[in-house]
Amino acid sequence: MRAFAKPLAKLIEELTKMPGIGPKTGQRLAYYILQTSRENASKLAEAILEVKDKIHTCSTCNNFTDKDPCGICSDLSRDAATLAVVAEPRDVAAMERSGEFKGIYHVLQGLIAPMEGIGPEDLKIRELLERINTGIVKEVIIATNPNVEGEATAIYLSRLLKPMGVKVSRIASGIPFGGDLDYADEITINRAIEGRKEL
Amino acid sequence: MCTRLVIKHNDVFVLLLALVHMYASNSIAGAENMALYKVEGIVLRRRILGESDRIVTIFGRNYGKISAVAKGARKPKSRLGGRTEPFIYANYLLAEGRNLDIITQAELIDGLPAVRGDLYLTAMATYFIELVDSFTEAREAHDDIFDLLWAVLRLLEGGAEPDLMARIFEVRLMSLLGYRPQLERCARCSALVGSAWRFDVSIGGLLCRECRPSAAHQVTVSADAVRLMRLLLITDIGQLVRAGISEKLLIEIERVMGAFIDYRSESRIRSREFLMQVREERKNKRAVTG
Ligand SMILES: [Zn+2]
Ligand SMILES: [Zn+2]
Repeated sequence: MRAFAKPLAKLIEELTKMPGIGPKTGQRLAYYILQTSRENASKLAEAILEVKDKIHTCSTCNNFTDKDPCGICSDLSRDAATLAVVAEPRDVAAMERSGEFKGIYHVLQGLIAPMEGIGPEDLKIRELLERINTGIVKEVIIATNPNVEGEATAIYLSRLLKPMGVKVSRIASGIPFGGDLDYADEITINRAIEGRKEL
Repeated sequence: MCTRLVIKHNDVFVLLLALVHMYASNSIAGAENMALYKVEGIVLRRRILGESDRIVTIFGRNYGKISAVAKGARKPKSRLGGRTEPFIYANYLLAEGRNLDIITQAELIDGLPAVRGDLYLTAMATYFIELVDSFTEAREAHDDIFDLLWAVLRLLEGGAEPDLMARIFEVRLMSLLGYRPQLERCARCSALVGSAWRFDVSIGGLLCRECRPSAAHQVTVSADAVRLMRLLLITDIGQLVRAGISEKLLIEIERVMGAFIDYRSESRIRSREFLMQVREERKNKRAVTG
């Protein structure tokens, strides 16, 4: 006996391939799609295909874009002398949401993760060095996550970049805004003290 | 369910907490009470679960490898985030869950800050925990391996020569796993081995001249390296650290143990490649700066 009609089972199977979607959520989404109008369903299908057809990575910064170079790389009002290195396109989105950073980006497409077998050669590091070699960038801000992989990548990059004559900095890590000192772990507190600022 | 009842009455809360503790320490898992237990452990790895959780694999004293969920560990305000990173040494309070157990609290014992601040040491610590991860089974206690792992990590933190730590760790780990390298007599026929040594990784020991032709997985090794391997197995680690051991011999032993580990391991030891790469760069840099 089959629990679902074949087309429905196929949809559930495709949905559960997505990250964070288990069988239950997959079923819920499949039923939603089944019950929604044909128009809505076709909009969803179109959106999925459009993303696949039109979005690619920027040949300069590796961020996702629908034109090349991307909107940020081709924006002349941005400060091309300050470059932030991030792991993933979603990190660009996070920094852009803050509106604080006016420089340009370089997306590594991952972090050094020795246990996963991801080494420097698997990341867009050579491309980063080529960009630095053009001499336009004066400061590189390494904005990788403050965890083992992010730290390893930051140390690795700083050793490559410093001899090239650019200023290399690392984003500060510490107590989150609105957070509680009492709630923070020891490592976070130590790093917050290390990265303290004079008032 | 406890928290919902107790928000307003502090006394009730304390009473319930005591009850939970009593239940936990008696290991009585009532239908409504999650049994709690404490694990002193070192984090081997973690992976992302859903939006903001992590599945953390802890190598625990008295427990061996345990996988547990750290809820919300990826949120910036999480108490658990920093305490569930690889090679963190901490006390964890776990609650038995339906599928995976849940980390409810973590209290740091040692975060190895010097290791974290150095690329080569980070790579080395990663190599150690990957070896433990790939050679041990879930929920199989290995306190001898636990002590060994913590001893070498602490020495790395204290500035001991990382490659010496690695060789000590490799020979002792293999021994504790039941693959003690046979370094006295021929591993196949028990004859005394004279000179011109070969180490056979499939048998896990030296071979004599007679047995050599029939063996397939051999690595040549000098008499000095064999002598050093014996010392690495039995000498007090502190004494080895002070001894000033030749880099050349360590490289030789690395070749032997690397092949031996690869032969015994079911999966590729991925962190070794990065380790080698960082070491090359480290050497080149040293050569440049004198
Ligand atoms: Zn771009
Ligand atoms: Zn023999």
